[in-house]
Amino acid sequence: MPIEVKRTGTVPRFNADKAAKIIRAYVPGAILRRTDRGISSTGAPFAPYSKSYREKLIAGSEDTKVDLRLTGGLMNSIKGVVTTTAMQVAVTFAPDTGTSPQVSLGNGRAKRTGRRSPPHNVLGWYLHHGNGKMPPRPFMGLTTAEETSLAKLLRSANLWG
Amino acid sequence: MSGAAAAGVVADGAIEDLRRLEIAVERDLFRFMLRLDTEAGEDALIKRQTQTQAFVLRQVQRRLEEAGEAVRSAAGARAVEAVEAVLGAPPSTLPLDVRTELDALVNGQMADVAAVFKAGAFEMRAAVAEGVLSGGSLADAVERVQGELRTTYRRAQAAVDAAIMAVGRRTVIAAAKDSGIPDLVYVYVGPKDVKNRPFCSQWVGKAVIDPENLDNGQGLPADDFCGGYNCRHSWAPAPIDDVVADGIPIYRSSGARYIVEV
Repeated sequence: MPIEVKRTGTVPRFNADKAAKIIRAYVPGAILRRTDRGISSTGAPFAPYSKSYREKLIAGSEDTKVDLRLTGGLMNSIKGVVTTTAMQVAVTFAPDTGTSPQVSLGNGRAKRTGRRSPPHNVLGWYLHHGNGKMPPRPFMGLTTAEETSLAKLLRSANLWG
Repeated sequence: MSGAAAAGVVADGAIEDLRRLEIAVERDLFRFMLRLDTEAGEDALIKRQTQTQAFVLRQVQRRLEEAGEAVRSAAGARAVEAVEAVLGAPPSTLPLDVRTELDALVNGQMADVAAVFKAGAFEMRAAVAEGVLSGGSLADAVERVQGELRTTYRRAQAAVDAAIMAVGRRTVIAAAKDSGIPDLVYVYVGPKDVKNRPFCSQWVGKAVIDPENLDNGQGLPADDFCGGYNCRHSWAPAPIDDVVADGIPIYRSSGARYIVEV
């Protein structure tokens, strides 16, 4: 196939802003849906909760599926943030210093203790990487299938012009 | 000053006021005892005691009105500090897009937070008035007021927590709507257990194309608050093809199944 050389017209420009908006919209939803199904960002199921934590969840009449969710505060704080200076999309916990109320489980309910959880960025890091006692449950990032889905979205969007 | 410390100042100020009041009441009762006519009959004693209690109660109410006003005027500042306690940082340090959303929602929520403090002031007054009227010790009433202050601050924080959660959902949905991705739907994700509200039981595991039009029966926007205050669920935006591939049913807010031609 011969190479066509255009000598007139304008050079197509990559619409980074549009691409960033698509990524910012897609990634948090993908993480939320996959984590809700108990699947890690490696594509493997999450390590099960410990016996003692499962017992606590049962005592609090909570769903015992491994979805990294108790109050929902951490998962609700996952967002895509576009940095306009370098045109990057950071998927982060926003506000990263935000905290959730600490709750104790028992008698079929979750009761606020009055204390706060660690900041979501710290809690998220521990959940993702583990902390020695707790196994890693990587949830940030995308699986190969999710990357494919995102690539499909980006391809179908008109990003050049 | 942290939110917890700020709450402590409110509590300490109000409690200090009540402690002074308690001392004044004891002094009044002591004076009453000194003037006590031991020859007087029981009816006269009861009458005198009732008069003293009524006097003390008026004093209590006057001072609590002042304390209540102070608590109310501080409510706005306390509400901001309650926000900081939840955020772990002043709102001004947040990224601009998050801050904009936060401002919009928290400003609306501030009225609720202030109302919580105002209701707390009434509760405190009621606690002391009841303590005095029932002849119980004012020290007990002070204990009860301390409890009310703690509860009030927790209620205020709960309102802020709900606002922050709502901001989180709103930011994700707004980013989805702003993306230009055609045919996005919103999957209702989160726990499925006996604690689910009827709204959550109905929608968990399903997708909807227009969450903003759903009614959660709580008088709160379902796209921001899902099932209501302290709801543990989230809306996860997703391309319709992915949701169909996952076998998740998709609905319109009217409840009619949204049939997708594959």
